[in-house]
Amino acid sequence: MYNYIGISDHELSLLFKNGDHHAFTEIYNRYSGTLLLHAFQRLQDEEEAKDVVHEIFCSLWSKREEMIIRTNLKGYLYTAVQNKVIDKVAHKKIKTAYANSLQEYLDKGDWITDKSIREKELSTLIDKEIASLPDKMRQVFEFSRNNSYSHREISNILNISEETVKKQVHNAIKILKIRLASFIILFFIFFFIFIYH
Amino acid sequence: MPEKNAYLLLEKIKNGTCTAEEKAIVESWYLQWKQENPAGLSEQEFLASLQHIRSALPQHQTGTRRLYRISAVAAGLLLVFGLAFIFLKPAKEQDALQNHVVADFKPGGNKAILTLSNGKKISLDDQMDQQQLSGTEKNIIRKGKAKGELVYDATKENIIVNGDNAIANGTAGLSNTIVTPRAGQYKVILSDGTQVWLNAQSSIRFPVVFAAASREVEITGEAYFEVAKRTRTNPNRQQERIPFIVKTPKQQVEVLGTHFNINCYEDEASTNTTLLEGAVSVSLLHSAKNLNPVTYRLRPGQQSKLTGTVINVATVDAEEEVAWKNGTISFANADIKSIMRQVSRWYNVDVKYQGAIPARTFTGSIPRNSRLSELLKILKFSNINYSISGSQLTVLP
Repeated sequence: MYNYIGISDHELSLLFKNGDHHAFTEIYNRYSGTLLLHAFQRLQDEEEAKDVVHEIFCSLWSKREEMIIRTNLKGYLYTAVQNKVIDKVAHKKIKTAYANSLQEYLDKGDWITDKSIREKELSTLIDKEIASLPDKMRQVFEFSRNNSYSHREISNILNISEETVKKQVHNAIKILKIRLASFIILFFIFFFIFIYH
Repeated sequence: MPEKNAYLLLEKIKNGTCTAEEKAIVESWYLQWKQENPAGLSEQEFLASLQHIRSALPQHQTGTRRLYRISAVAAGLLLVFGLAFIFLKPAKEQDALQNHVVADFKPGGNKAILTLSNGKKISLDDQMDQQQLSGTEKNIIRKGKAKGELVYDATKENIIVNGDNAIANGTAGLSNTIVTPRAGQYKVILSDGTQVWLNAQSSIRFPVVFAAASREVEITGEAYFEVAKRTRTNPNRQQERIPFIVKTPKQQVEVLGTHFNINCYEDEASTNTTLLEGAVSVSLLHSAKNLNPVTYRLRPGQQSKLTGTVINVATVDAEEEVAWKNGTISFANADIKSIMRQVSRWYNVDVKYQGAIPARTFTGSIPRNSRLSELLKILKFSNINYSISGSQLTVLP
């Protein structure tokens, strides 16, 4: 068993760069909710927001070895979500609303030239979004970061019956059982070869 | 000067041609851009989305802590028996067993069978064993610089392609065949310098040394050609280009010197010829009945589709069509069955369908050296489920 919940982002990213799977899981637990909420807030499209988060974590995993996290893990992920959202906007078929807002900004003709200031502001902005979540969403958000709630707690938060929660967990266990079955088959293969020699 | 038009600027972002200054402007805009009356995700949508993303990640763990414990017990058991096995058994068997267990999920590699003109079959993988060569070709064939590459080098023995030396050398009229199995690919450089990449489950038959006036090969499956330009002096003492003809079971393609891809797998609905560079003429197979069939000239970026006896020409994303040759499995608006046909050839799995087959189309790409499970994870992200037993992959609704 592992427990990375208490460790700092900095330690986490070091562990991750060394290829630690649990560190990756913990980074996912810590940040996926935040990134998803932000991407959805900007894109207003569930599928696109999911894509953004999925792509970020896929590339985070595949690039872990060559990755140099310039500032910090949080800054890196927030910049990634910003870039992906901007990219999605640029690829949208209908982008009138976005283009109008951008045009207004372009016409004003001034912008923040310092990269580190932009990064800091982005960080403040996204943290603020999370801080201002409605109560119930906030609970669910905390739940998503720390996956150790009981059936009853989940059912209370989601306002669905405990039965439904049990059923969902049951489904997850079923998948695991299939995996266990393949372990057992493997074990028998080992076993027979052992006997025959 | 940075771009002042929002649409054009967005276009530049899309194409990745932004300057650093333009990037700074867009990022600054991003900080103060607000959606009017944004909708929020519901709590259930939020959790379901996260679960969905997590299940599609390359490295993921699902379920609750309790599940971790069950899997820890299973892993522990496995470790004990695994260790016992490693220490008590010779290493060779252990390798064989491991290969047996995981082989179904590995991507294909450099594998092919070469048949020499004397009928001898030679198995090719990353490297060719020069010792195995025999017959007249012995001094002509060598392994290439890259892995999985075979070179027919006629210059070594001073055999000039458009000379008569081939006859003197005894290679005239001799053909070789290279066949790739499922999950195999190979590259061959022919005696005229033409490069051919063979995809999985494909074949090419070609003369060991091309004759003076014509160049002709036959293929099945899928191959990408980079044809070398060759000229000869005709009896009127004029220089003329030597055509290169590729025959497939149903059509023939005549070229002068160009880059193109032919996909003529029997299980695909059509024979597709895609041109990347130069010019080619596509026609139905010339036959006694059909001495002079209609030919279609393709321009770069165009693809001809032969269905039945009808040829249609359209503009396509040519790079996409030859992604396989560049080491990528790529599909654009492809239905699940056509993706699975590729999967079946490259991963050597049989594919079955259970229940209704989703009619949706998919767009995406993944390196060809990925394991099958990685590709399936991406499809699972689009709600395509599957089960695997042995070398049988079943797509579930």
